[in-house]
Amino acid sequence: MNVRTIARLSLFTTALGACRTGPIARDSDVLPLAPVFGPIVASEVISGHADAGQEVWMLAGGTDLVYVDLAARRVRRSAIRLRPGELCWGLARLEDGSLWTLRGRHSVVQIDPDGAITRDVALADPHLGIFGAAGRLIYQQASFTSPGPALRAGVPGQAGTEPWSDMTTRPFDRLARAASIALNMVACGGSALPERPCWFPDEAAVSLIDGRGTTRTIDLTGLVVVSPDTLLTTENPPRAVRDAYVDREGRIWVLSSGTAPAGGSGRPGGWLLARYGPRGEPMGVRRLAEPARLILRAEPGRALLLTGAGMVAEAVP
Amino acid sequence: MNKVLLTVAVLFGFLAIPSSATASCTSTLGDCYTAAAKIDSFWYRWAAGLDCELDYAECIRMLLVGA
Repeated sequence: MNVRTIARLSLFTTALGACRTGPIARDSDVLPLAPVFGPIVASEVISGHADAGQEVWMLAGGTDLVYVDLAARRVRRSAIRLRPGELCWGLARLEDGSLWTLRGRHSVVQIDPDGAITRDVALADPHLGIFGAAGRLIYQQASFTSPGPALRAGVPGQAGTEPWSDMTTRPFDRLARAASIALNMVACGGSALPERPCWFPDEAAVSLIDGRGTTRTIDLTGLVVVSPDTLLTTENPPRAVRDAYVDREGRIWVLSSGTAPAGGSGRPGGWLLARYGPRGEPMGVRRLAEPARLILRAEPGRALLLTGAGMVAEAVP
Repeated sequence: MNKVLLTVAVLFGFLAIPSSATASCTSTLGDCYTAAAKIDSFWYRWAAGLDCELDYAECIRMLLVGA
């Protein structure tokens, strides 16, 4: 081996050592969000939302109804007429246009666009969530035993409810009962079709449920799932599914926590926007330039998101 | 004696929550359990314990379900 060969080998070895072993981040991997209008909400928690076409309603801070007209780029906020200290959770819109929310744990109230309570229905048992499907309210009763139906459906004010969907609460034998109750809470997103996506906070999967409760479960590949322990002990729990929306072609749009960039871990919202086909076929995951809290509406090819800063912004993957 | 047994049982259940938990929801749950354990009546004490768990679930709900 002569000096020239040694020099060539050294140069080759140096070049190999300089190669990165991980993926090289490119700015083109980041999906920019184009602001449309806003801000429409502050940093308060959005505990429920409903949509119909270009209209979106949100329950903000447990006390306010926020109405958004996406086409007209208009927002209106109304305080719900609650007694001091009362808070609401969840928002259901029925097919007759009525809006309902859970007041405390023991009543559902109908609210008008100005926030007035027009009807008050007492619940015999404590409840933790409420949604709407066609003409029925979908209730999530606080369940101290599992497994069991996670959701039940009923007409407001009528006695008796029936199990709705195949979603079943899971036992978490290693965890305290209080933690098990929390992990079995259901969230649901919007949809342009009769099937609506719902999910548990610890799973990378959605249940697509139609008005009658017929359920298809779709596993969402490529999303990071953390242990229940991590979910319960982190101030900003990394959720595989933060929000989901089914567009008119049946594609599932998913907002996922992902990993925040340096300095961004405290900002509310998810950093990944994923899309799946109607049967769960992966269609790509994009990292967002800024975190997003909700998918307000999705159409084939674009989505309108509520950003962490409270703006309505457009994402075109 | 019953009160002592219930307190032990409640605190044992609390210990089943991950020991690394620092969220205020969990610490509030512990305080609530402690207060519930001091109630004289068994049935009111039991109901108070359940309310503690529901309060915890509502607290965590904002982190796990809220946007």
